[in-house]
Amino acid sequence: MKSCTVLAAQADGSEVVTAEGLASDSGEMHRVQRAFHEQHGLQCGFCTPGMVMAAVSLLRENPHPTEEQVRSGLEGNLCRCTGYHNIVKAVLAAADADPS
Amino acid sequence: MIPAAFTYKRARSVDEALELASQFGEDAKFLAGGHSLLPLMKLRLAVPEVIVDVGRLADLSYIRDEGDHIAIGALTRHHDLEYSGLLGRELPLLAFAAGQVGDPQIRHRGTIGGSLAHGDPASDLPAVVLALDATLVARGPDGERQIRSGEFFLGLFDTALQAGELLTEIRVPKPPVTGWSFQKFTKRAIDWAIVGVAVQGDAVALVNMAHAPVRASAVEQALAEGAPVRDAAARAAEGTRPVADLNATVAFREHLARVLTARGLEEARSRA
Repeated sequence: MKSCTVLAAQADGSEVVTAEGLASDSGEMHRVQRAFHEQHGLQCGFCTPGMVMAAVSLLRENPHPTEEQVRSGLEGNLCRCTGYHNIVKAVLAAADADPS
Repeated sequence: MIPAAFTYKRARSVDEALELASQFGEDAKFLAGGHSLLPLMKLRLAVPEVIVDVGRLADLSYIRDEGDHIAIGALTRHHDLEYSGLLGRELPLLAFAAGQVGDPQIRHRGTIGGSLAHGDPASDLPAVVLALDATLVARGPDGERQIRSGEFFLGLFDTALQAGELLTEIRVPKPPVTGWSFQKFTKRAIDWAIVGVAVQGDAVALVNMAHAPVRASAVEQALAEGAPVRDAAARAAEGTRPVADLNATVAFREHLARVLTARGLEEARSRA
């Protein structure tokens, strides 16, 4: 969700996961993070936390999306650097890395 | 910008929500998904003194087949409408249109009740419920009442809901004609419609062609008189009052209404 449009008070009593909470306790990257790294799905990195969180949510709802579903699933996140291609590749790679 | 200071109250039941609303009167606004109200508060175009958060009232989130109609709880999120198998079968117009609202993050939070109560003529769902002849159910200090969609949307951010009334349910009759279409013309991915058209059978409702969603009654009358789609759609702008803004002139909106109505009617007929 968009953290700018949810009051902290609304989240009272809930669990909030941010990009910093994705890696394992031992520091091993979440498969989405690793995929962004391997597929060069970022340049300046400004959109990256949002893209990664949107991708994690998308893959939870749809573990094996088509490319088109990835592109529409990331509609809420803008990138000024990459032109989106490697971001989409990263999400698809993360989906492929899902054993389920 | 950040909102002006306000008091936050979380309602744990519909009764408590109504009590809090009547306690604070005109100073209070209900908060559901927050994706209409909070952006306005951040721009300080809305400055409620008290926010009554009804977003945790899970009892108001449901989609049920009630035989002759589908009952939808006001707090049902757009995401749930979009992916509902029941809506996909019985009310695909609503399921599809809900999937056109904003983007996935917005759809995870925004609710149908919030969208309808907000009363923005540029929103997608008000025109859809108007085309579907839905009935809105509201609860207030004087009890429950039902409001026909044709009498619900009064003007810009103005609905028939009275102070202290909470929209609780949307009842949508199962449509007699199954053909449907939703046409939304935008420049960018997550814009409001510059103009939109919702079609269910021969019912046509327009997004952003007036200060409230409106039925394209001239089109509907022409269809009832047996006019072909093209001729009927040519009358889409009659009786409308679109505004000119950064996105479009009045003439462009009128043109869009005609074109999108024609496309919508043709698509609906192909699906009937």
